[in-house]
Amino acid sequence: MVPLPRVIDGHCHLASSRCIPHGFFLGVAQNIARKMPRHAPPPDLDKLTRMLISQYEDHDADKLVAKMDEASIERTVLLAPDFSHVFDAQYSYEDVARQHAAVRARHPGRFHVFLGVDPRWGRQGCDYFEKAVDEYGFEGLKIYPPCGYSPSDAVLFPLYEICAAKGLPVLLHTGPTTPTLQFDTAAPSLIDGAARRFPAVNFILAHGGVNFVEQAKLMCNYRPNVYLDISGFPAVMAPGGWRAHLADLFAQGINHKIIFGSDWPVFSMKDDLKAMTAGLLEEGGPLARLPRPAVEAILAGTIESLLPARAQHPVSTAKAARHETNAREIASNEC
Amino acid sequence: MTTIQDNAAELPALIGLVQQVAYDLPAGYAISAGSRFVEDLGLESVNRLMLMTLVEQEFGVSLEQHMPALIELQTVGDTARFIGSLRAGR
Repeated sequence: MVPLPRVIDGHCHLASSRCIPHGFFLGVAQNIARKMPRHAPPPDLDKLTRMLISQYEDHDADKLVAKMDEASIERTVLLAPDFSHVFDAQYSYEDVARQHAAVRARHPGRFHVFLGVDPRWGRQGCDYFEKAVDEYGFEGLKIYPPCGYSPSDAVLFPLYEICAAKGLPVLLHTGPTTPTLQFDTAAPSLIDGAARRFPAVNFILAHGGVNFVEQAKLMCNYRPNVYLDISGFPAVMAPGGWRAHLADLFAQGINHKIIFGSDWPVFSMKDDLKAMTAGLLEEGGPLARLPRPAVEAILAGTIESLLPARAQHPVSTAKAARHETNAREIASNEC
Repeated sequence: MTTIQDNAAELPALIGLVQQVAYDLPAGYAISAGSRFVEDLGLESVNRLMLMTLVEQEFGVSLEQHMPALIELQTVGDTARFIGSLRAGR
């Protein structure tokens, strides 16, 4: 019997309402309210917002770890975007960092953290990001361009310089989000300037396999240091549904650039983590027809290779060399 | 296995609400107690939240404190029974 491939979730969030401002949830609730049946009484927006927030009470990640275990997910990258520059936030980016560090300490070996710091916090924010990386061992930078900046804006360069020096990847949100934020700074092609200027930094287009996919896959194909993740796939706007959409994406010759991500807890009311991984791997599922090395790379290998060396959980030199060989095989064997 | 006797009195009205939010329901599909929200009805998270809002309006119950339990319910029948227990004050 062929063992199941290892899974590292490359895009996940701590379901903690302390880390996400009320204004973010309010925007999501506004969109839900617009979708309500026309003859139904208008929903109470505050109540709807509270119902959304009530799904974000897993502050210590105990529930998440249980769900990861059910789904045989070995490790998870927690993304901690900084919304504190654009929303009134309960937690500052320092508080968010401390909470994520506490989660890592509570569940050793299960989480990596990509911390967000809005670049407009300037030198102070930049210094804190570096301190958090050094003190907590965080493994990447999360940026959220819908907060109102291009991912190639010079204001981000000091943060990218830290990432270049420390071998950290940068993950950036692409595509629409809560309607209270800006969408025109969320196109994948906007990373081009930064990707050229910082060739030693690897950039991951979050939701790139779901939003603006044509742009995202071209960036991945032609920029060596640009990758995409498939987080958000259960809700992809594609006529054939997510299975057909991903099967098409996996046939484009860029599987060595594609990373699995669940975007938990965003889809926790639709598919839990086990349903997501099972749906990808099941007979007839989008991963079922791919060569084993490609499956392993999408589900774990590629995100693992982008983490700083200290975080790649005992990877020997020989193993690392094998991974490089696998990556080359995938590139040459893809359908 | 779900039986007629298992079904809560809330089931018929709940099925009516589910029909309002299940936009991608296959033609001719009859929603029953055993219908699963994701696999059979194709409900997204958004649709399930809409459903809960409608349930509150229809049955006069508050679901805010019960969201973690509601998320784990897989079928229409399970949800009808849950609502029944809330209404009965259990």
